[in-house]
Amino acid sequence: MTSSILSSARKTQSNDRYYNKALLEIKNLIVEYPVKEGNVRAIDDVSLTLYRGEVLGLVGESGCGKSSLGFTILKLLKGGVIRSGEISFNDINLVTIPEGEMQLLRGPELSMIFQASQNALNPLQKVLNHFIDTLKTHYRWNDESWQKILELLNRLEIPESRLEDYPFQFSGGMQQRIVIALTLILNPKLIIADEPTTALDVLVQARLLEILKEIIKEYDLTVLYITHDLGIVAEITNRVAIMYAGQILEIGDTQTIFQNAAHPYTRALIEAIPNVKDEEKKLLSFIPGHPPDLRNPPLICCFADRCSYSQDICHSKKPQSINLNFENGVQHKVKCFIYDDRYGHLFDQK
Amino acid sequence: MDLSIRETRTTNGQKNIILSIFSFLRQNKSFTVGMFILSIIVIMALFADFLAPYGYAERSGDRYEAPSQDHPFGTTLLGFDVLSRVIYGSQVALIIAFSGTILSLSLGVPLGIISGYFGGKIDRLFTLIADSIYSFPSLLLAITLAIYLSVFGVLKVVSAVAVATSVVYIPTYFRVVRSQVLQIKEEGYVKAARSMGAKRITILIRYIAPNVLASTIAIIPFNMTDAILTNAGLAFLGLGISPPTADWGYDVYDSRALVKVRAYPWLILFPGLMIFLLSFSLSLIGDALNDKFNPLISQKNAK
Amino acid sequence: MIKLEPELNIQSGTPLLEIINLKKYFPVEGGIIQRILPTQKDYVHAIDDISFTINRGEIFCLVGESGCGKTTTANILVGLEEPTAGSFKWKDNLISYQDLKPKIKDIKSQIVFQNPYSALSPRMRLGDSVLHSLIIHNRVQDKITLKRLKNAFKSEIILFISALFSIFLFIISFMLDASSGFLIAITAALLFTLASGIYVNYSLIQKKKIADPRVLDLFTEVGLSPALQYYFKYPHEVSGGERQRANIARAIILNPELLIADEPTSMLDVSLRAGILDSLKSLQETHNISILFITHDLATARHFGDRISVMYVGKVAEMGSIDSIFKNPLHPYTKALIEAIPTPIPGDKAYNLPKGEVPDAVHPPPGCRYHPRCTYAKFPYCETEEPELRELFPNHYVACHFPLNSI
Ligand SMILES: Nc1ncnc2c1ncn2[C@@H]1O[C@H](COP(=O)(O)OP(=O)(O)OP(=O)(O)O)[C@@H](O)[C@H]1O
Ligand SMILES: Nc1ncnc2c1ncn2[C@@H]1O[C@H](COP(=O)(O)OP(=O)(O)OP(=O)(O)O)[C@@H](O)[C@H]1O
Ligand SMILES: [Mg+2]
Ligand SMILES: [Mg+2]
Repeated sequence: MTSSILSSARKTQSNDRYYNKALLEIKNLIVEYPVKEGNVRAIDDVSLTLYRGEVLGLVGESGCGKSSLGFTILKLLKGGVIRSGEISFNDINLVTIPEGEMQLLRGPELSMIFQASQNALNPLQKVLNHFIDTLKTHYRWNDESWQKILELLNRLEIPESRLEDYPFQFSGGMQQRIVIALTLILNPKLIIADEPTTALDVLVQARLLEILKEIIKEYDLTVLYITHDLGIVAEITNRVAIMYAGQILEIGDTQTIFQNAAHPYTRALIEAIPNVKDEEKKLLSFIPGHPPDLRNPPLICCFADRCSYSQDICHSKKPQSINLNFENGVQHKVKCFIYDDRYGHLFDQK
Repeated sequence: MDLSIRETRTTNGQKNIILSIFSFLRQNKSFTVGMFILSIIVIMALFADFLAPYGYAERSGDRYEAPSQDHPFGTTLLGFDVLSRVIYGSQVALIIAFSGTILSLSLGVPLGIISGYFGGKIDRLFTLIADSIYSFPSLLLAITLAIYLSVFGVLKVVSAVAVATSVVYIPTYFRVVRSQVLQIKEEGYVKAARSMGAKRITILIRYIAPNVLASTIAIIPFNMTDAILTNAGLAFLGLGISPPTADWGYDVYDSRALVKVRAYPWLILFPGLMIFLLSFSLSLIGDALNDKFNPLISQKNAK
Repeated sequence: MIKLEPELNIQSGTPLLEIINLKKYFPVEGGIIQRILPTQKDYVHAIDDISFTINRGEIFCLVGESGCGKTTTANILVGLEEPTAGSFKWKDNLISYQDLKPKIKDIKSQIVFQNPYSALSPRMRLGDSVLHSLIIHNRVQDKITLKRLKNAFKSEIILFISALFSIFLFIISFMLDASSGFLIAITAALLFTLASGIYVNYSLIQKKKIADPRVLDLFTEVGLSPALQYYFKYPHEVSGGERQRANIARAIILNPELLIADEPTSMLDVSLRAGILDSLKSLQETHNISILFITHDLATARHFGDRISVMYVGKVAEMGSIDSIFKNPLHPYTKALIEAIPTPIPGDKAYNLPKGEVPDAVHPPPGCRYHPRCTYAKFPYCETEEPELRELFPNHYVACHFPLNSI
């Protein structure tokens, strides 16, 4: 099968291919939603680098700010305010860029696939017209466009014969693939995929993930893949960032994180996912309590209340990001006092 | 032992309602302004006997006296004090506003709940009727109906206006309530109650009604406004409450001739202003309530 | 060929509820033309002849993709939907649905819904929501609660009467073309209504907050502690996981023998899911309840259930004990499902994934319903003959002409 050839090809490439050229750099980003009772701090001091050609997974529980981060990068944030921080994309500062120029970037440079992106399709327009419209709005319509549309549809397993159909005549999985094709037709440099498979059935999702993997490889895409499912992360990403209560608690190579997670939250999260291929039935573990309220968060470790390792220090200060090993070509970073040289001794066991 | 249970079973009451009302007032300026104007008018109506310097049909001055110390708003042809008539006029206006609203509420809401919850043939019939009434221009229909009812002597003017307004407004309540019920009927908590074996009436009273009623609150001010405007329209056609009862609509009608407006502008200015102020304040309140209670908008805010 | 080690002692539990040849068809609402012309009516074959048995004290899982009829089955078992056909055995007595229904209403089975956000009335406190299932069945025992309910009822009657009275005053007043005297009377009546409304809603319930001890105990049991605090919270004041716990409490308070849990964790975060399942399991053990656990997540079923039935477009594809099905899936569909779930292990790949999507339940494919997507050998009569559910190994049933152990 083609996919297996592709995946073996990926392994032979050296890792530095992915991790030397930064495409998107986020520095100390803070985003808040002003509400009646104060400010919801949806993104709390997030720093993140996205390298060209990598798939970075952004995982976290519901309401931790994943979508907010995606929307902030695209400057499509509704009701939220960027309090501070920098987002530079290809050396363009997205925080200060005027809306008119940002509009030119959306589509051909930066693009987003949403969870319910079926709604992005106009029910009164044939699928083909969607493609033509998209290309024409960005002045990309030329003689080769046809070729490209057909090639993409072919890759995404949508029969050519259905170009003349209306969106409602397609199933959810197919609509999602059409939206992906529409995104890809403009050759964006960066794609933010916000839970693109969450609404789909397991079998359809598995197939779509496989297609996505091949396409990412083939078109050499840079993807920020937002999801709450660590299983998907394990399958599709090179690197993963674990987000909790608006902060990135841990970031590193996917392999490393799954085998050797540093942050107590990451560990607990990985343990909480049941594996269908386990030989024996086992008791599922869980994290007691629930995520903190993001309104006016206190300046302490956001996971302290649920953490089984927490000490007094965790309830009195906010941990800083600490560099751990350099593994598989990337820096493994974690926000936890256990790994801080100054406080590590306070925890008897790791 | 019993005591200890008691202690562990009670907690103190929480947030003060008055405080939360205050915070609502502070956040909704238009609601506060509307409420302020409305309460002045209500006070005028309630204490008219004490506030008005003269009776509403008392010859207290000469004809067409310009505003002065004795008659701040001037006098009419018959020498009635305009200020007193404006004050007494608020009574009629409020009675009409309230009676039109209460009548439409007390019919529209139950019909909507029944129709939405039970469905079937009744539902289809009610919806058909409601939709056909709804497709008329509402104020015109109300005025026409009121004319028929009062001119042919079926009802007195105030009652005719109330009935006519409710014919127009019952479908509005009906539609809003019905669509809410249809939606809430499928909610998990109603299904849970059904699966527990709760009786229909219990479900209607305990689960559906409380969740539906909030959405009707926002319609009430608009309903009142339309009742007042219907009455004014009727009076303006010369079919309103018969003189000498103090009625803003009648006073406007009586002084509408161009010559009069030029010569004695206070005759039309003050009653007209009152009609405007009352409906304006109600619309302000309506808009604020709409923002708060309209299910669609408030759901979006919650998410 | 795969070697099988059948489990023998599964049926050690005695049957609680047997479902025999259950069917549910929903008529399809056609367009105007179909309504006018007497054409043939179409049906959604939501459940098309399924049978299974739930034993006492076991967790029976029902899994399958979206739209395969899981929720419909649950709704029938709690009396929210009437089956098109089917009979039932409740504790070894064969009964029709009409006989089963009173049993259901008599609190023998209760349900926990998928969406914790809509399953509790937004205008009721958590405690009152749970208490209300006791009220419906007249099972409130606590004297103080009873007194409180009686008082609340009284003041609601007062409110109702005064509302009626003020409407009556209005009608009279405008019949007589009222003036200021009436206005005052009306205002008084209105104010009275308003005041009693506020009294009913706030003073009575809010100031004297007294909890029912049974509900409190249960709250602690399902993990809502301190119970007293949760008792007086509104649903929007607590998290999804806590709401789902309150839902469980509401279902359990009537001591049902069968608890139906329709995807109780699918809308919750991973870190909370196992906590809810843990509570369910301990409740099941302490109260000896059977659970019909509905889910689309095989991984959860793998670790939580005792027996499982895999459904596909209204039919049972495979049924048996959890261990034997996950070790040796016999139906290609079961195998594909197990393969398709992303595992938390990087580099783990899915094989042989079927293409295409779940077929339309209005016109299900003839023959084996899975044949259009099946990646295994396609024999001509997969497309024409409908496979029977056969017991290939003790307590391991499969509906496939060519189960995977024969390939
Ligand atoms: N417009 C808004 N106004 C106020 N608060 C908001 C708004 N949008 C989002 N939030 C809050 O910001 C936080 C982050 O929301 P976000 O949608 O980014 O979460 P998410 O990680 O994408 O969650 P999910 O997995 O549920 O999609 C949440 O606590 C949410 O309640
Ligand atoms: N009231 C109804 N009227 C018509 N069709 C219905 C009705 N309820 C369910 N159906 C149809 O019956 C089929 C089975 O639905 P059901 O809700 O039982 O699926 P499910 O297995 O619970 O799916 P999900 O995983 O999405 O919850 C679906 O095709 C659905 O569209
Ligand atoms: Mg999101
Ligand atoms: Mg369902």
